[in-house]
Amino acid sequence: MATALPAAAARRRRSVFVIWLLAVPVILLSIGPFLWLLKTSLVPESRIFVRPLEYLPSTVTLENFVMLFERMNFFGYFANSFIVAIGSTVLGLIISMSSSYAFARFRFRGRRFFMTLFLVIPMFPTVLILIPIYDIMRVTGLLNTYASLIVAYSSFTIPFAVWMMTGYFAALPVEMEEAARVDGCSRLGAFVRVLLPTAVPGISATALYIFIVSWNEYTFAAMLAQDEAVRTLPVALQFFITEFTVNWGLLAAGGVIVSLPVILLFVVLQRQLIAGLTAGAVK
Amino acid sequence: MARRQAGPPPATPVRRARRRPRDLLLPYLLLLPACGVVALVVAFPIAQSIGYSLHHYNLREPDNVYFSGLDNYVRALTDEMFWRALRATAIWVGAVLPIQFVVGMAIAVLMNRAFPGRLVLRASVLLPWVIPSAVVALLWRWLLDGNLGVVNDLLIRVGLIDTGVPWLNDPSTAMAVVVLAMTWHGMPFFALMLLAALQAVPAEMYEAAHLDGASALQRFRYITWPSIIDTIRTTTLLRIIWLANSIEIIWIMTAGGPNFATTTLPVVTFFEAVRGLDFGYASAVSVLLALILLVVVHLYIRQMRKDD
Repeated sequence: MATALPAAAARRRRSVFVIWLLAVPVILLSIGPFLWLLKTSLVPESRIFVRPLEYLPSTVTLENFVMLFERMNFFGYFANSFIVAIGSTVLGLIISMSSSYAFARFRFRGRRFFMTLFLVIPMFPTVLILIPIYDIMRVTGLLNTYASLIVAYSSFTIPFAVWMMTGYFAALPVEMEEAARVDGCSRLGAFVRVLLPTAVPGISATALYIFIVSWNEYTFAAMLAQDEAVRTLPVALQFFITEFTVNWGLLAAGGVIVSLPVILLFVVLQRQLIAGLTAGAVK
Repeated sequence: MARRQAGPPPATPVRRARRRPRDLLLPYLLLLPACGVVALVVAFPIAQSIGYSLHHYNLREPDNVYFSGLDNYVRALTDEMFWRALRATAIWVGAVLPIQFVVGMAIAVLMNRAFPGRLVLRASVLLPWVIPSAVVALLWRWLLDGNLGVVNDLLIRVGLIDTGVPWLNDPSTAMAVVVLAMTWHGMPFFALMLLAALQAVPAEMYEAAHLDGASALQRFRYITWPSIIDTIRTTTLLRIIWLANSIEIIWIMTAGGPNFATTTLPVVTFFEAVRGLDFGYASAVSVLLALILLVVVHLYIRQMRKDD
């Protein structure tokens, strides 16, 4: 036995070594491209053209970021993206919540049909609804407004929110609502005062997810909000590319700025998702 | 009553005893807001699209709109461009999907092992998925740049090529590199879905098989594979639909070029709508795309029902 233990430990060390040998290339390929973008954003424009390529920057500067915000109206685009993403999140949650409650707490004729409907809707090609939505916005004079994007985004945020929140609501035990109703609470009262507070982790996870998807959206934004006043970040980035020149330093800085909030949110979302899942099991 | 979480979550009725008419109606009233908005932003536009596809409708000549029957469809189906785009769509889906699956599977198996530092691996693997598609497309344009791109630089250093290759400007390499970018972007989704499936396999089953003397290959064949096959089917169908619909990566990297080498069906419609303003023809192509995808969606629903 005394000799077996060190042998087992050695075997374990060896297997950890093998795993890391495989993990390192995976990690490099996953984060390498983004690190290269980060590096490009942090070096002066002149150093980008240096040959041979510098893998580690010899000088680091924030001039690209300063330029973006001082001269390229990046604050404006940032605000536009933020308003559209918040608007989509609020609208998506409010519109979807009662449906999730219905799916989670009622059995009714057509329940399965409606659930399948919400599942299938996001699978229709975006281009199939893009043109009519463009036309609707054009006719109603909503083209180039925040509202046009918020309404268009509800085509994919609502089905998603309905499904996600139905899952969270159904995982919460019904007994507490029943107790509240026995105590004289109305159905609405039980929903607002009992179910909603316990479902907060799940609802916030849904909210964050809608926010991220809306923040990242490009196709609708490129079609419905071309005007500079309402242009969102993913669309604004394309304007650094012209027919003949690309300002890679600015573009890289822009890409980093657009990605950072989402990366940070995802760290939060991971925790929220786990919290939302365990909330149903623990209580 | 046996309840399982897969598929539509089961309802837990608040009270089933006394059913007043108002209570029977209530769930439908609750569905109204979401269904109303969805009718407005999805159902109505789809009907519109079908209507447009039967009209001559070009925004350049807004006064010259008329019913043209199946003209747009005939134009599409007799246009060589349509068939090339269909082929490009098939290549696009057919290339990205298997690569994402195989590599995603390998990463999932790796992430399923308990080892020090696995959180670093998981966080890194997630990153490509989190970055917005528009940034992913620009990022890969930059990596693949013919003159300044780091991909060329690395390949030259290793000695695989002598001079920089203009990957995105060459019709013979453009598709391969947009596939590369999309694979990078979508892989984490596959890896995470498969990882979740792997973690749901009870460890005791492996232990029992191990005691019975099953080889690693047998354990995979008889325990792992049957446990995850449904997840694989669901994820694959979902990815086919998403890939066949996706525009951003291709549009931003190549706009369908060079020489239409990367023009898939959604790119055709986007191009016709945005550049050509030919809403009638663009609608017809998107309806055709939707019809093709309907087959996959049908399979997906069947699979979901089976999981349920």
